[in-house]
Amino acid sequence: MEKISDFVKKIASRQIIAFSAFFLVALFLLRGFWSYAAENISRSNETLVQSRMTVSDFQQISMKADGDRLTSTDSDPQLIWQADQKITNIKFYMETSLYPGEIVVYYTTKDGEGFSENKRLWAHPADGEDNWYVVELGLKNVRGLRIDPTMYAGNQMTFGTFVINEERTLSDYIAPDARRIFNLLLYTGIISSVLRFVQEIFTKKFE
Amino acid sequence: MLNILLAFGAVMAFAFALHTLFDIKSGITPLLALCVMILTGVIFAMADLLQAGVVISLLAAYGSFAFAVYKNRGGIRTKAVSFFSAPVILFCASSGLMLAFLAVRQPMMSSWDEFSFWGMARKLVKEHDAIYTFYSSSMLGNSIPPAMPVLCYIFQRFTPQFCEWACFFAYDVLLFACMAAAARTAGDSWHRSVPVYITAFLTPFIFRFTARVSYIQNTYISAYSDMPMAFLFAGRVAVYLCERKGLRGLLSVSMPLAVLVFVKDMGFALARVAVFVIFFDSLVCEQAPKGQFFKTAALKLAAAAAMFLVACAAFAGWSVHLSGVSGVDRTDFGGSSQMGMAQIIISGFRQLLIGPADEKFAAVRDMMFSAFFDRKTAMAGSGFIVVCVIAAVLFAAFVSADRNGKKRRAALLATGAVGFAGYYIFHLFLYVYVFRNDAYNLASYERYMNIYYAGWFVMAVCMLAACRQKKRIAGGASLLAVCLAATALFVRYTDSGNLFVSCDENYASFRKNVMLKTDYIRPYIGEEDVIYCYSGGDDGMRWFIYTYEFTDNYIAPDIYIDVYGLEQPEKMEKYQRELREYFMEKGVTHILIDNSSAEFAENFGGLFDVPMNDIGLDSLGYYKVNYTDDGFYFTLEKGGYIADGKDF
Repeated sequence: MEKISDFVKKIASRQIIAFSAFFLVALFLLRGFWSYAAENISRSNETLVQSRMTVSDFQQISMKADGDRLTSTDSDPQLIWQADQKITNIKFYMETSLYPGEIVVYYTTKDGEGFSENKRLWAHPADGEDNWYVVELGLKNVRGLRIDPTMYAGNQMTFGTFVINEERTLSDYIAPDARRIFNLLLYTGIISSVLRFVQEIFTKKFE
Repeated sequence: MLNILLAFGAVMAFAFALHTLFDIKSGITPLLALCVMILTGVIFAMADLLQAGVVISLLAAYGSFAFAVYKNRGGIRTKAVSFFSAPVILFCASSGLMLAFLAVRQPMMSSWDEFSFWGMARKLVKEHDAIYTFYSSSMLGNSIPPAMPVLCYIFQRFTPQFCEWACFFAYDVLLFACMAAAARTAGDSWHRSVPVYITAFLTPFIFRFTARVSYIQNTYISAYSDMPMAFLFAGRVAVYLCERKGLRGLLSVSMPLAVLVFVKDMGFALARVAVFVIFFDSLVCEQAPKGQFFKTAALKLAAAAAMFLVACAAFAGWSVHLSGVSGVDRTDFGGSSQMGMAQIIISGFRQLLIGPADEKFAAVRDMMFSAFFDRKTAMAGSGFIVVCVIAAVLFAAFVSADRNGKKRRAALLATGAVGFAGYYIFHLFLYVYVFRNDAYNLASYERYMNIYYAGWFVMAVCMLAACRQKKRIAGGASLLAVCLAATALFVRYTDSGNLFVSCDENYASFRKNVMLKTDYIRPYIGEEDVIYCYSGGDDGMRWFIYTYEFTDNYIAPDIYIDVYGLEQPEKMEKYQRELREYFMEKGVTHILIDNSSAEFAENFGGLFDVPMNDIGLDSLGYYKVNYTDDGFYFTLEKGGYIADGKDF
């Protein structure tokens, strides 16, 4: 008992912080590997399939067609798809006459479920590919999907291919980006403070 | 970029000097350093010496650093070690990361008041190298004090051009400095400072979002003054908690106080509340020696009066400047009632307490009352819930404090509540007497209230962190619990830290869509053109963006012509006559049609040589105004479709 107490007392603050950071990095990596593995398992038993669609596969709401071009008739145009499959990501091509604004994607996972802000995602421009937008769903059984491609009325949109479930590389899952770095710092701060506090209680020595 | 680093370096250098020369606790030095630099800038700016003022404050900052190093050349290592305490490291780290993030993404201003004042003022100050009272512009809010524009100017004094993201960074540095001061209230232990800092960092999010979001939200990418005010309000009390003895304490506390008053008129109200909170805390925090109760109380009253005077001096200084330079009477709020400040207060209290209340007053009063309980203002819930949360945090602080500390926590709850009541009533008067139609939906209610809630919440967390010696387990555990709860709320509402998802072009799409047009027409606009900008169906946002993009030109404000009950042709005749008079009065030389409307086309369509009836989202027309003896007509200078560049 005494030995443990001595040991705990001797742990320095910087060791606690380093441990917390390493622990979190390990956790993040593990989660990345796990998601990558899960995606590949689903692909190999063919529950996750890559496919292509066009805009005519969607039910179009508040849009007016003029050849290939669709024009939004109000500020809430929608593309709706009754799906029944596993989806991990969607990538689509869209040229617009105006900047589209927030591109919101709703999905449902149960029959009869309505679209709600609890199951809402955002599509973002794909890196280095003009006019391509991506939304990541993270391997879900999707029953209904709705894409709101623009926030503005009178926006002229020309859609290309919709790629469902494009393959991801391992680095997509584990490469550091702004969000992951932020999370790492936030949780390192919290976990190391908790650990240091526990050490304080354990050694009954308060600063 | 160099200029930004130079300014940030000056803040750090000056902070270090304050720490080594005066032995001020290092956590609060960045805030004090920044405040002194802002105040120097503001004072020089009011004398039209902004450029010189900023150079002087930068030189003074580095000079004091050199002096401090020289004076302590023996023990500089120990000083440096004690300077880089947990709050200062947190301050530097978050500033550095934010700088990297902003420099890579280079976000642009995107929301309403950034174009009407907060961003516009910064752009004007940078382009003219002077504050906006010294020249005329299209900007409407010329009477708003200049602390934030000056702060932004410090970070781009030497840059050739105005840089929008540098303003965001300047704001963030101020916010982080306040957070470091708050973190310092936890004492020297890093594992208490960190939770306070994290909680404070998440506070703007918690008090901004009422619904789940995962899109870019301009919390730390914003030129609004709300969060800076909230954090100066809290930061000032945090400084007081760290540094409250003697003249030095008084001076330290006065710095953020004066800056707060210079941020916005509302800052003066918050400053008074802060003085009130501090005064009562200083009364209860120490037992006066026996028989000297009145002497101690008198001293403390004198200290509070001195702080109050600083606030008044700051307020009066700007008022005098305004009436001297631009002839604006600041106590005249204008607005819907056209009443002065004193009149508003007298009439407001009469209607509130004695009655009878007129229709608008009663309606707004009832709405304000129910809004406190019904309107969701923060992630946690309505204003009532937020006050309960603050009370709970203070209760935890109460439990984990010693006997004397208990009184202080209770006092903060009571004084904070009294201050809040005052703040609330003040806003009731604002809605009734200053706001027009917006009063009936309590426009921006959440934003105004959250300034107080956020500040009060951070103060409560400081009080929780500041408990000493005994019962450290209870105090530490509840501090961590508050931090975890804040994180949980943040994760729940923002999809685990998605705040940094791409600052892509989409988040500023509204502005970028207007910019498609401004970029198109910019080459055809002459230096001396005075422009009337018409945009049918616009709520004002497009107009503000035009004024923001064309700061070199004067853009005449929109005019309201009352034609109620008139039939054609009297209606058209009155429209054209009054618009012509207005154009002559403002000296309008050009008219820009951003978006036509049926009403406008019907009444003015005949005056255009090239029809403007179809001008809409994809097109734009810029016409010259030609005056005749009794009328006017418009000839096209440039007009066409934006996308393919085809002319009309």
